[in-house]
Amino acid sequence: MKSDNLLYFVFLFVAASLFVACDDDEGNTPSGPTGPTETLADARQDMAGHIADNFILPAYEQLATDFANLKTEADAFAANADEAGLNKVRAALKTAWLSWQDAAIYQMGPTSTNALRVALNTYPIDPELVESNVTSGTYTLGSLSNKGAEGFPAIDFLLNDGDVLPTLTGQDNNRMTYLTDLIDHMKEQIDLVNNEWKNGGFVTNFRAEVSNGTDVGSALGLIVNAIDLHFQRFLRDGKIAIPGGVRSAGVPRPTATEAFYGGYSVELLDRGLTAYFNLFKGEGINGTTENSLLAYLNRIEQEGISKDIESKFQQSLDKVAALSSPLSQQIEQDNDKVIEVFLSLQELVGLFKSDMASVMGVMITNQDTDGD
Amino acid sequence: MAIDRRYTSWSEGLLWKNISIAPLVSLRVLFGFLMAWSIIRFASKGWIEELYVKPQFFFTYYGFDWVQPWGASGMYVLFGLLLLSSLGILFGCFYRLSALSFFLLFTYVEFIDKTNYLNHYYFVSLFSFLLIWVPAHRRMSIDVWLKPSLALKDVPAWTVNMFKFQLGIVYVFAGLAKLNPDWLFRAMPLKLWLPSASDTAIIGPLLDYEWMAYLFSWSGALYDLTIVFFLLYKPTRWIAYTGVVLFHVMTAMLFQIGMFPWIMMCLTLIFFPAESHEAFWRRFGRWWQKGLDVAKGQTERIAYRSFIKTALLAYFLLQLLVPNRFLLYPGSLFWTEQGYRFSWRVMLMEKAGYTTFTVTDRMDQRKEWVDNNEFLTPQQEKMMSTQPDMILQYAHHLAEVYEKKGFNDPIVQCNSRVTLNGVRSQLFIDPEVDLSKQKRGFRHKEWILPQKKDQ
Repeated sequence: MKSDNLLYFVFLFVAASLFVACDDDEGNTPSGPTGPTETLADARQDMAGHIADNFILPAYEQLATDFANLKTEADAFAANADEAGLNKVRAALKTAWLSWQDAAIYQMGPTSTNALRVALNTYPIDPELVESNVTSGTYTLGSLSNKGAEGFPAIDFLLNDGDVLPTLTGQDNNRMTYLTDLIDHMKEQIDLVNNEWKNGGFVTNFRAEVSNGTDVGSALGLIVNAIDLHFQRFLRDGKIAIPGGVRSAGVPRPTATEAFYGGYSVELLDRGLTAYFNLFKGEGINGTTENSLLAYLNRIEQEGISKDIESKFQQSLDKVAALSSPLSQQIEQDNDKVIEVFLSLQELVGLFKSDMASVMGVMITNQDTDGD
Repeated sequence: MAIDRRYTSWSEGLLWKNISIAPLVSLRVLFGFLMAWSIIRFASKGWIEELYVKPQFFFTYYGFDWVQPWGASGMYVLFGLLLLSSLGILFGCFYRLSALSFFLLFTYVEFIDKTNYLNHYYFVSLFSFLLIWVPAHRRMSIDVWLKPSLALKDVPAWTVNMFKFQLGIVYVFAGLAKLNPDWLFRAMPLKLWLPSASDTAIIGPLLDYEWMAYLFSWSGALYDLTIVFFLLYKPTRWIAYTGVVLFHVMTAMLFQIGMFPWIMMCLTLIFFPAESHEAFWRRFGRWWQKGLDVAKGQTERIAYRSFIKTALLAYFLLQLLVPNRFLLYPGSLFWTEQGYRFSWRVMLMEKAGYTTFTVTDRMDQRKEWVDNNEFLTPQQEKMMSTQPDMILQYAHHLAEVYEKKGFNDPIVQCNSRVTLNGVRSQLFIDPEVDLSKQKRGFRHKEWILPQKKDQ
């Protein structure tokens, strides 16, 4: 730029005449290494179909199955409360909670219209609110004021906060009733959302031709924005940054970890991060890697960015693996490792937001504004 | 002497020749209509709320920190007044007042937040400013209907020609800005943008091909640089106008640029001769003739001529200088964006980044990583991340907020990675520098790291 404008001006006319004069034979193939097999719009549409069929729908189906199992175990336990039954419910909770990590990353469509994330996984919970609900026996599940006493974290509190068997069976069974009420309420929500994913119009539209662009509201736009927003707020911040004290002047908040009572927050984090990684690589339930974000990136950008994202994912997973359970203890004893995970995830966000979104032509925004 | 006289008579004709008022009436009606439509569209998309009510922090312009939003109901009132003003322009009702209030209110809204800067908003501000000074309401208007003696048949040519000149500036500068290596020889950013529009009807599938990006880049530059001259030249005018329509319809289909294509398609009609406009308006018969029988006509006031001449000269000199102010700054313009706004640099680059901040207590070294979502909307965060003056403003805001939170004289540092035109992201701002101690202003920002091109 700068003052060589004049030079380009002269050059423009020389080159323009050349450009018009010769009928160029070069560059007549679509950009990228895969050649003229399919248009990028078709590639994006196939990707949307792949994500719907092999990621979103099975993830919600699995969540519904695992949660139904949690309900079965909890009902059996309520009918006959013993140590073995309690352990079975605890295991079923963990399985369902892990399944939620796979489903949670799709914060769009039925999941966001029904505010499923708020209903299932708001933490840290408010133990006093749970206690007062249990004591009074009156509460409105699903209400805004009660969200601090619901979801997986509330079940975690009821099942894993110390020696719970005597308390669950005591108090006129109030505690047990709250537990089964919670589970019934959550099951309703999950079945509703799963059903809407399967039978509602969202997926049909998501995979349709009208959604194969990259603008706000296109399938790719939705996926990239959901990744961006949810990854930042609920994976990086919720699971790591906030408990690690990153957002509170370096004062750690170990009780703000996800599964504070059960002590398997690191496993949940690992599962969530892996879910993103698999989505990026396209490894859904049938293990395919075609039609992935990675393949699409490689087609338009020749592997530089996708390699960096892959290695940053791997590096982050390694850093997560270096954390010991429970996370709350890790935070209190050696928070530097937690900060390291945070910084690694932060770099991953940077790669999504700048390099990846930029070459894909996807706007990272929830606003449909004009440009110029 | 002969040449001198010919120049004088040419410039005299350009400024003072009497021409029909019809083109001004066309401009007034088109502009008023487009603006009313834009404002209704803006409001119906929920952008008043989204852009001027929801954010808790606004990126003001240096020296204009007093321009602040008026709160939720205040903003709706403001946009209501804007709508009224544009209808006032459209129907020629209290026209001068309407044009003045439109210019002031519109510019005020644009100055609330840099995040929303668009070249075509700047264009609208300038255009409405020019409208204040012309008698576009003195025919076919409510003002004439109320006071028929206002009616005018002719106006001096400068009132129409200055709009042509303004449009010419927009196109030519937009064209000159495209004469850079990225645009011409890497077909950037169109190479990135076109494939994402390959769902467009008819031409869509072609957009995946790289040569299309080159074709679009080169023809776009050629179009911008030359269109005004083809519009001015009678034999090519119709072909040129067809080109205007094709070009802007194409950009409207491919890119999300709102009203801009329609504004340009309508306003370039000003290049057609006064007689064509007159012929169009004559169809309205009675309405068009209203007041001519009692009109006092224009009283020639030669005394104003030198004033008008000087004012026009000053205005357009400024218009020629402002887009070139970037030459005063070192470094690459696209990278530092010093002197980037108000320069008709339209759709020139694909820039994206991620900028995060840490705040440290200067006394006890407590450190917090800032969550941008807590202070900025996603759109604001996105814009801030790649523009140094916004990064600095936000850093100052953070220093203030954290001071109140009890941080002693907070140190604000940022980690900023930016990608420009498909070149891999690199460090943008010196991560060591304490932004809280850097001053805002027009001086070169030393803490912007130089762009490494060959990565």
